[in-house]
Amino acid sequence: MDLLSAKFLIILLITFVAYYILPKKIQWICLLIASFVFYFFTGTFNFVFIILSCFSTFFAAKIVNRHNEQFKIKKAEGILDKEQLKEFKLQLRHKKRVVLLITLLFNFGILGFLKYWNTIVISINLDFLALNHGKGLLLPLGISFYTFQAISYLMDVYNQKISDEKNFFKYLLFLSFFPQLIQGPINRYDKVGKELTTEHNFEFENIKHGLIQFLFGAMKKYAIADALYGSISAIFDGPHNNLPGSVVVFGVLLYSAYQYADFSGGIDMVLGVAKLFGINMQPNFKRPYFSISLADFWRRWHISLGLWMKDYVFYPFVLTEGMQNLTKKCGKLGKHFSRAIPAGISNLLVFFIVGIWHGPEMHYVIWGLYNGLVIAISDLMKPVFTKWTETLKLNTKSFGFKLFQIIRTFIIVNIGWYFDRIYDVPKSFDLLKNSFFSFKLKQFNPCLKFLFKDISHISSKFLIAGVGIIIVFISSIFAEKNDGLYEWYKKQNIVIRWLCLYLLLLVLIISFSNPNGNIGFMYANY
Amino acid sequence: MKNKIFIKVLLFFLFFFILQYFIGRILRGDYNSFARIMMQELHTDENIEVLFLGDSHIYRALDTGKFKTLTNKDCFIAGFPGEEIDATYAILKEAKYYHPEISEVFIDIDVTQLFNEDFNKRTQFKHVYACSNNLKNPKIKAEFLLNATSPYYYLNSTLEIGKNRINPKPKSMINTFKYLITGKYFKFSYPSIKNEKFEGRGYVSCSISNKKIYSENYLLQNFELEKISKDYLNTLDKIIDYCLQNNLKLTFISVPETDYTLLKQVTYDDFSKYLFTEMKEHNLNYYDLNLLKIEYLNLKSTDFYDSEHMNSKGAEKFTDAFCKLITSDSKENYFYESYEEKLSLQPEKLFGLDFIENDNGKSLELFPIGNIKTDTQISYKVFLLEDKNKIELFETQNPVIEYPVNSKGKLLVECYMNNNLQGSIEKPFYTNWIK
Repeated sequence: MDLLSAKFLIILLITFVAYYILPKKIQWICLLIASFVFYFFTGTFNFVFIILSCFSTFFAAKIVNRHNEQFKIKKAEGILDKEQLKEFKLQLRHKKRVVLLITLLFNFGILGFLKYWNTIVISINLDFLALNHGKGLLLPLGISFYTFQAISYLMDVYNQKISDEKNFFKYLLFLSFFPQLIQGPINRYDKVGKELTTEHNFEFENIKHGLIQFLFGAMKKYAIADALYGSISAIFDGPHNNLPGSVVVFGVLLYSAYQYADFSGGIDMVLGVAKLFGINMQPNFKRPYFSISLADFWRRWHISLGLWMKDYVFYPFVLTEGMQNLTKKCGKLGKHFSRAIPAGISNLLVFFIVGIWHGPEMHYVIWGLYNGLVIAISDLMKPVFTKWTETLKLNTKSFGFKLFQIIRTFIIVNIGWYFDRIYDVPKSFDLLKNSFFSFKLKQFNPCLKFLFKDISHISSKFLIAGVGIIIVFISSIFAEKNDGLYEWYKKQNIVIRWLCLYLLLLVLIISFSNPNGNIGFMYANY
Repeated sequence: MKNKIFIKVLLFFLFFFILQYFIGRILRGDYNSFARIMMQELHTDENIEVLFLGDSHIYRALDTGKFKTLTNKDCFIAGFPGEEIDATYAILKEAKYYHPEISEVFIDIDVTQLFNEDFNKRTQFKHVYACSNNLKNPKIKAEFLLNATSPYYYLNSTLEIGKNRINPKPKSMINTFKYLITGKYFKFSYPSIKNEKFEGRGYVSCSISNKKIYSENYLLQNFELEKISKDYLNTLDKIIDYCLQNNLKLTFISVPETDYTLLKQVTYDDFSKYLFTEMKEHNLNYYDLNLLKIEYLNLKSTDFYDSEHMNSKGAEKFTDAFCKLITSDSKENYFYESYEEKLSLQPEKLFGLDFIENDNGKSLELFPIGNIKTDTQISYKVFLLEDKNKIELFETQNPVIEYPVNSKGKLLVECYMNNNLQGSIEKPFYTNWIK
């Protein structure tokens, strides 16, 4: 269901009115019903999986929490001595681990089966085992996001960061809250889970903030992303494997804009909807193209996934016995390497998982490993880079240096997009090579005319997208200086505020006069 | 406090509506729109007895001045480019509202329009807003807009900036702004376009004469009667009922097009017969003017300026023949039984050379369109146009021509029938992408 469709807007309006009219105690029930209705419209098939995930993690967390409580009780009783307590703790930990492992296998097993089964059986020549005639299986809506969310809840209970939720339906609301189902963000129970069930008063400020954020997101999605989609496909999805570098670079830049606008636009719409109910969800983007390094980029891009990977993959992996032994061994090379080498290996693992999470195809794996490798190498080379800047007497705090870092990072990120977007791996390498060694600027126009066929239809889309990109760029600068765009917006006088809103509305509505068809959200496919 | 918020919200939307209206008018880029000028003339002209409706085919085909001379009746052509049947119905009602003296209506039926998508499936609305923007009667306008699109696009119809006329060229936007500010926009003068002249009463003459063979992407239009748009037929019924209720003498016609266009409509004769039979069942007249006998109307390719539209020479011939037809008592003698019959009586000739690019742009497949007998030998000479040089590449009878590899430029292809040159086409190509 499109976030800007009549169906969704009607569900939202009814939910909104009911939420603030009905007694505050049942506000969360109102949201739960709305989520069921939303899911119902997207297909009852989707229900089965989310209920399975909810049941398994809810009851697993219950068991795990019981074990945690048992230990606390035993400790408080003071009956057992230190050795006995340690033994008891080990027994409980073993039991907890079994529950955790089974639940992880079950949930990730479902996700993995739906995403990867066909690819695996086809790659080992067992095509007869493939489902749906070998074509991709239709993933239940939001399965990646709520699976990760469910696992994060279970892990937090396991690590005794939070205690388990006693009310099954409140927990179900946390997993199934309708705005987040399409493409996240991946929320944490201790923040959003509690907020969802807290009573909220009607605050006009929330409504304003929510509507403005929704509008801004819609402008990004429909005026920029949807307008560019067709052109990017025309450049990369044909059989043309020797395009001039100038066209390829143009295509990758378009993709860079498209991906950010589509994903962050969708997230803004989701966050805006949540804000209408007074709920603050996990922000997922923080002006990623202003990053000064690739590591910084991943702290600003798909933030919730990055945090999830950090908390539930990176740190647990680094703290394993094997990695701790490696850390000790690397200590011989110095303090820097004792940290950087294990961290580098962990990063490679994390980004390998990020890669295959996007899809089982090789180009995603390469993209993930590329990011992991660049971050690992950058970290390892840090002392060398520091020495260079000292030798060259560069002022690393100057605007010029920061600009250099931003542009450098932008280029590095865009090199990664070659592997993300160009599905054929040899072709991605060929086109990357052409970008550097066969730029052929003179062929830019004739090649685009050949690829696009109808230029007149494209030019108005580019104009709208261009205006949208300028708006996003300027607003990002304001947001960067004010720690948030809405913070900057609130400080302006009424004329500026209204002009900003008018600009967004105008660009959005004009974009509808050049229909692009129902393209959907890119990350809804993951 | 609540009142303050309410007033603020109200003012916000009020200012927005005003702002979007002005921006929309500038973005509209219609300062030289033919529909705008034609509709203005429709509203202000006096005495219209005969009304012609249809798209660009009709307003280029009928010389309204000559019509008046030959029939002594004042006519008006209320047609604009891309006009579809629902716009025709709206304009008919508008015209009758402002000109109660209209007694006779001719509606041009373009065969291809019968297979347009249903109105609620439309996603392009250029012609919809070209019509609605220029309807003055609010009831007719509202009725038209409510049916012209699905409810999903009602916002587009309501807001000026939502209308599908965004013109990205800065020059066009500056010109619109200038025209608005200087008041020239409201003078409704037809822009001076080279080789074209607005003769008045909806007729536009063009002095360009097509001397080449036609060439387009090859697409045969194989019409299946079961796929005729239901919305089109429903709207036709509404038009018929309206004319009956308002005592309007209604006649349907199909304005002549080139043989090139007709030959690409594979089942044209089925179609023409279908329309004739359907109209007869409703006691209506339908004249397929493509079937007019050569002794009454002999149109050559030089009487057209492109594959579908007549130039001033063609319009003169057509108007002459048309006026004779409608004033004649024995109309059936004017027509062939079918287009096939008409074609069989003409000499062998190539009208056009269509093409498809195959194999992702590596080769060109040619499709000769013409009155061609089965034993006729067709051959091609292929040249590479480089700067101002014409380099002969090869001669072949194979209609599939491979482009030079890893190159870009233009090919010139000459087509011969039994070794007689019929015409040539130029085709740009780009194969540098091939590894």
